[in-house]
Parts: sequence; structure tokens; C-alpha cells
Amino acid sequence: MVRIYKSKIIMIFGFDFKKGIRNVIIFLMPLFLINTNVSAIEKLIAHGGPVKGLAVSKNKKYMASASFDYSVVLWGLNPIEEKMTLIGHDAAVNTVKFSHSNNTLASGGDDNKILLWQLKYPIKKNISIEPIILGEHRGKVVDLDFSKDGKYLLTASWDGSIGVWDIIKRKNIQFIKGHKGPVYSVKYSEDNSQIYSSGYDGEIRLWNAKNGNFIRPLVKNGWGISVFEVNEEKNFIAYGSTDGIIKVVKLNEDKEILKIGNNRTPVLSMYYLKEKNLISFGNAKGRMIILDTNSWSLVRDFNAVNGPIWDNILFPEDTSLIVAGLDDFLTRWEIFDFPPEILDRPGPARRFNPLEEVSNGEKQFARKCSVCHTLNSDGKKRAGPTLYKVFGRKAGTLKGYKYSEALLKSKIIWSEKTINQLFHEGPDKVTPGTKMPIQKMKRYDDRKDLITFLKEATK
Amino acid sequence: MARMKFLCDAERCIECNACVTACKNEHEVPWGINRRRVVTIQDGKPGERSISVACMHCSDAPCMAVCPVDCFYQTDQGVVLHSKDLCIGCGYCFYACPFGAPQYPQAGNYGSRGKMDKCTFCAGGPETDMSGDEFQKYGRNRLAEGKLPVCAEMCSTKALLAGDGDEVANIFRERVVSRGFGSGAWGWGTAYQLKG
Repeated sequence: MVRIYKSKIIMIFGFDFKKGIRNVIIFLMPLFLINTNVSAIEKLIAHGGPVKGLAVSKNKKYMASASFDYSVVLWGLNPIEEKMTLIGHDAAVNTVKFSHSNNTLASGGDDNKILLWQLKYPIKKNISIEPIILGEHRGKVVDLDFSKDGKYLLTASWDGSIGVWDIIKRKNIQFIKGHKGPVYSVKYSEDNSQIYSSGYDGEIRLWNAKNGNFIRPLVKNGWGISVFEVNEEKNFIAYGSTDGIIKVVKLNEDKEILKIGNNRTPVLSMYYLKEKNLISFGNAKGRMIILDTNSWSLVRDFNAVNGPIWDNILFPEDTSLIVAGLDDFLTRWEIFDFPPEILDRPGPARRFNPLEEVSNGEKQFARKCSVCHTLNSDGKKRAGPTLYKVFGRKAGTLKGYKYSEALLKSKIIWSEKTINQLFHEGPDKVTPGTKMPIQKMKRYDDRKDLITFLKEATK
Repeated sequence: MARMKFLCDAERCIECNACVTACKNEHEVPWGINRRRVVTIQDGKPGERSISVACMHCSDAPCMAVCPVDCFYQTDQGVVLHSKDLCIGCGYCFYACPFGAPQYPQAGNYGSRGKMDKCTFCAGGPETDMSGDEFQKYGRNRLAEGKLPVCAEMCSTKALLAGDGDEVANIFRERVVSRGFGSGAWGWGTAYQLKG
């Protein structure tokens, strides 16, 4: 299938003779089939907020997704179905990874914590697993990587350090510091003896895994490097940068293999399907680019979602991919069965820009509350608890939601008066210690309209 | 309508950090946050260059594309601003910003992050122009007062230019013509892939 579609793509290779480095510039010529009724083949609904991280188990049977709704969802892949929800983080979860034995799942989040989840196979539906808290960084944790032997875990954090953790002893071995600014991505080398890391400072660095000593910079990009993948056998590093460039360079020498992109839209995610020689990149405006790593030719280039692609996964059979973004769901796309280049930002309007005229109260809810709260009786899986029947409810008492200590101890009963007070004075004053971000509504009319809307909508 | 732009002339920047201090003072920026910073490359070595960096008010700003609550907006002068009433401090804009412009207070909610703060091009925010609320959340609205950003006004060597893009370009063009070939905007070739 790959070959059939590649034959429809015309590529022009340019050579930069000045530096003696081959730059490959790929122009995708407009294709001839036009079908404007194309949509994602599947929406995978389980989360109640943007999905930030995806991972596939090494046996390709399970997938995990990490979300802004504080949860990790474990999916079966054959067929695709939600298996269980893992609740343990106290803030948005950014990243999740399976160990090479598939027995452990690690997750990192905005609460700076690294949690381990022990999995037992076959995975049964809706069984709760208690997490093991491996440790904490001083900033949000944004990437993870297990060593091949499953004994160690690497973590990348916005505190500027790389954490090295002993999984068996469940303790930190060291925090490697050296990047100037947040660390975005981290990986073990094939033999676990070295560590690769990339960061906001625009460098991919090589470290000694044993003592944490800095060996040398592998890439100096200037702009932040959000994501990268290394193939030691084939001798390349592929990376995506915050200035929108996708670049592939030789691992052992300063030689460029490929450079794509000049639209200045940051590249935010990538996935390397090694066995099929495919590598996929997602950017901040929903564009997917898929490359063949044998010929370094463009396989696909299309707009998959509205807004950013925080993570993506190519399926093992290499005919479909899953993307995660600002939507509360994951979308699965066929890669080859349509000419997706012509898609113009598919997907629904974001909830904050209602297409129809709505009341001021509903608008206030949509813009200021709806990212974390629903109004439905079953809307538990969000960053905040559902507001269904909130009037008359004692704060911190909705079953199934993991409240902060502050809310559990609170004596507030939600009413017109207390909700008005919450948005007038702010959650930091009314419920100090709450997980709720500081949301205030200065205008009395806005608060009144919101309460009127909520009274009707939460019945 | 003018399209507002910043340009830092690396041939003139002497890393005095007056722009950083002036910004912090003018807007009473809280402890731990700098809306502007001076970056020095090749520090102490031949070819050393300093450049003052803040939000570049991109025409097609990536922060706007990734915000889950759509708190960003662009004024008709091209200034990228945000609403602190809507911001939930998720940090997504920091992932997307190539310049590291979004800043977060050290204490707050959501994994110890409060409302995002960034350079406003001295243009305030969505509150009423020059109101107390606007000043408290976003700092002074100098554009509404008929003034230009304080960082550029304070720059002793006039390395940092701010204002109408056409005016800024004219001033810089004159400098390059008088200095000679090769003295254009530092990093331009790298940024726009004109070399190497």
C-alpha cells in the first residue's frame, strides 16, 4: 500500500553545494483526487480533557493515554477499547510509557510526580490499580523512558533536570543537570550506557548513564527541540523543533540528511515505527507529516485535527494512526485510503467558540468552566468534578472524584451565595488549597448570569 | 494601521539589561518573573553577541493555536495579548513558544502554576484601557497613552527597536547601509534558512 501511494507523490531533491551537505526539499504536488467528505475513521472517547501523551506497549497489544483530566487510560488495541482508568495524579498528566516487559506503566504530570502502575495480564476491565509514587521533580514531568532491562527510568522535567530512577529500589539515583532551561525529551541508548536528552536550549546532549557526566552535544539547533528519536544502527537522529523544522542528521558526524518545514509552526510530537521504517511528526496546528526512513521520502502530509497534536502513534500494521490533541477524544485516521492533503482543519468547533448565539451565562460556563467541568450525571472524568446537581451539595463530597485535602475538609455548601462568593473573591480565598485554578469574575452580571445558567443546566 | 514589531540590533546591544529592569519596574512584574531577558551567545569568546528577547508578537502565534481555553487574542496592531481571567496556567503555550515568552509565577494552582504572564508590548490586556484592573493584571498600557514600549525607550544604545514595523525597518535599513554588508539582523540567516 505504501508503494502505491508513494507513486502519486512527486519529489524534488535540492542540493546545497555551498556547504556540501545534501538538503532534501520535498514539495508535495497537489493530488488529483478530491473528496471533501473525509473524516476520521474513529473517535476514541474516554477522557474529559486534552490528551497530552500516548504510548503503545512493546507487544503492540495495549495503548495508554495521559490527559489534562488527571487520569491515564489504558486501552486494548485489538479491538480498540477502553480497559481501565488509572487515577493517582494530583494534576494534569503529561506523559506515559510502558516498560519493555509491558509489566509496568510509568506516568508523569504537572504535579511533578512520577507514578508507577503494575499491570497484570490479561488486563481486565475496570479494575483499580494503586500507583506507586516513585518520586518527584521540582517542575512538571514531560517525558519518560525505561531502560531495556526494566531496572531504571529516565524522566525529563521543566525544572531543567533529567531524573535517573532505580525502579526496583524505588529511589532516585541522581538528577542530571546541564540543560539551560526545561528538558523536553529523554532516551536511553540501545545498550543503556548512555542517555540522550533534548531541551528548550535547542541542544540534544549525550550523557554517561552511569555517572551522569556530560559527554558531548550531538545537535545544536538554536531553537528548542521538542521531540527526537535516535537509531544507532542506522546512524541518525531525527528531531522536531519549536521553529517548525523537522531535521534528520547523522548520529556520529555533523551531516544533515533531511530538513523539512518553513511554516514556523512548532513540531510537538513524533512517533517512530521502527519495524516499518516510518516516522511521524505532529505540529501545533494539527498537521501530520509521515516520512519513510529508508528513502527519507514523504509518505503523508495532512491536517488531522484542530489545534496542536500533542502526541501521535502509528499503528503496527502501518495503515492508520491515532492523534491526541486539545479535543477530549483521540482520533484514528487511515493514512492511505484518501488524499488527506486537501483537508481543511477537520473536527468540531472548540467548545469555547460556540457557533450559535448563546446566553451570557452559558458563554461564561463555556469559556471559564467547561474545560474542567461537565454538567452531566456521568461526567466524572474531568479535571474537576461534574456540576450535576451542584446546588445544595457539600463541597468535596462527590463520590469518585479525587478531591484536594482542602475541599475534603471544607464546610461550604454550594448555593447561589457561595458560588457567587467563589467567583467574586476567587478560589484561592474561598477554598485555599484547592486544585481549582484562580478563576474570578469581576462583573456581578456575569456571575449572576452564570448562576442562573447553572441552576437550570445542573438540575 | 501600524503593525507593531520588536527588533534587537545585536551590533549595538551591550547586555546592560536596562530593558529587563525597565520592563519589570514599569509593569511592577512580580518576583520570579521576567517578561524580557538578554541572551548572550559565545559569552567571553570571539563573536560574542547579545540580544534582548521577549514575546515577539508573532503574526501567526503558536501560543494561540495550542491554548485549550482560547485565552489569546491579537489586537489590530498585531500585538498578541491574553486574558488572565481565562488562563488556567496549563503551560501549553510554553511548549509551543520558540522564544520562551510565557512565564509562570512560582506559587499557584495547577501543579504550582498560576496565571501565565508575558510581554504585552506595553499594550495592557482585555480590561478597560489604563484602568486599575488592567495595570494590576498586565501592567501599564503605554500604547493607549500614546507611547511605545518602555524597554525600547530605555535602551541606551538604541539596540532594541519597537514600533511600527515599517518605521523599525527603515531605521534598521539605514544602520545596515552605513555599517556595510554583513551587519544585518543577527541570526536572520539562521532563522530564515538563508545560510548553512
